[in-house]
Parts: sequence; C-alpha cells; structure tokens
Amino acid sequence: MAVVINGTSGITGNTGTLISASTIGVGGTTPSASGAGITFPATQNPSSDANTLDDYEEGTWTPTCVSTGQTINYSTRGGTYTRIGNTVRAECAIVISSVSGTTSGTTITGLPFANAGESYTGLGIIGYNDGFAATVYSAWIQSTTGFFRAGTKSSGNDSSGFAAGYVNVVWIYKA
Amino acid sequence: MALTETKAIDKIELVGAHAILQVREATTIMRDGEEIAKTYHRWSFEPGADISEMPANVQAIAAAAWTPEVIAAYQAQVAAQRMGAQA
Repeated sequence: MAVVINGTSGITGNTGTLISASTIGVGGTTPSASGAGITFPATQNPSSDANTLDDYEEGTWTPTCVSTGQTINYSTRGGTYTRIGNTVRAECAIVISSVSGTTSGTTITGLPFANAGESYTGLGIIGYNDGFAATVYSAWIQSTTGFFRAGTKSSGNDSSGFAAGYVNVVWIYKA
Repeated sequence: MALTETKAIDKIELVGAHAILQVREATTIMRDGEEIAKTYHRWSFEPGADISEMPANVQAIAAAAWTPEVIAAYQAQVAAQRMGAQA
C-alpha cells in the first residue's frame, strides 16, 4: 500500500519517524516495484536548497575514442554512470583491437552529461590501460569530451593518440 | 504472467551555452501492465557531431539548434582546449 504524503498537510504523529519496508517515491513519483530505497522523478525537479538531494540516476553510455586521423576498431566498449545530485561518476571500459593512421588529439567522447563545472575541470582517473600511445598524466573534461595530456607534452591536448589495448577511465565531474 | 520490454527516447535536452545535445533512452520491463524494472542509456553530442544514427526527432532538434554560428563557437572553444590555452 502506498502512503501519499500531501505537500501541505503532510503526516502528523508523535514519533517523528517514517518507516517504509520497500520504496518511497518523491516528487509524486511512483515508487519502484523492486528493492528498497528512494525513487526520484525520471526528470529532475531541481531544488534551490543547498541541503536537498534532488536527483539520482543510473545508466549506461557509449564511449568513443576520437583521435583525428586515426581509425580505431574495438573489441568491446561500454560505460556506466551514476548521477547523485549534480555530481556524476562515469566509467568506461574500452578494448581497442587495432589502430591505423596518424593522429592529432586524444579524446573520449560521449560522456553521459555535459560538464557544468569550470573550464579544464572534471577529473579523469586512469585505471588499467595500455591503449594510450603514451603515458597519460592529466585528464579533464570539456562539454562531453574527455581530454588527455600525455608523454612529454607540456601543454594542450595529447597528440600521440591511441594504440591497441585497454582504456579504462573513471570520470568524476559536475553536471 | 506477461513480460514486455519497451525502448523509448524519453529525454532530449540541449544543455549550456553551446547547445550540447543529451539524449536518454529508457528500457522498461512490464509485468502484466506493471513496471517492474527500468534502465537508461545516454548519448551526448557536441555541436556538429554525426547524429545520423539518432531518431528523426532528435536530428530535427539538433538541426534547429546547431546553427553554423553555434558550431563555429563550439569548435573555437574546443580548439582552445586542444592548444592548451590554460597551460
């Protein structure tokens, strides 16, 4: 049985607690039929209050390695994401089977949300990899693209591109 | 007991000054008419990106938003990132 809490009259009681054995929907959302937890609206209803969690979403995305001039073939590629409030954690696991051509730039496109943080923010954490042509030591996000700096390059985006192998990255940024 | 699976683009958004296109597909599992599970897949596209594999309504929104001026402004910003303007 669902308990519907009216926004104006609410629920009154003498314990001050609310216990649910399954799921609770907020924002008028129908609670999930599985598990136990809080179900948020499929479309965020943003709160201006700094102490209010107003969004949660999990899903998948499709990462694409882009390096101008390179043709990149994949064995597998995929990604998952979790958005909590305005914070996104997105990870991608890519296996590059072959690469041909010369390159300019080393990026991964298709991040699930645009970066709403300041320029050059967003954090890319490199996990296991041998799919970069040079060792990456810096990663940031512009819009929905992750940029890499690698090798001996002292400024700008890396130009060494990708190689056959694994590219595993976790991205953390503001949406 | 009847299980059905449906896929639908349930969200199309243009985000930020450069009109980044965000698309979400919802896959919903229904049992006897009641939703029992839902998953999402997201795509994002920057102005000028190839969206030929997206549905016609998504392409129409992009075509309206991504004017040559919008695409040029976005590409200029990306070029600055590649060159390391902050380096």
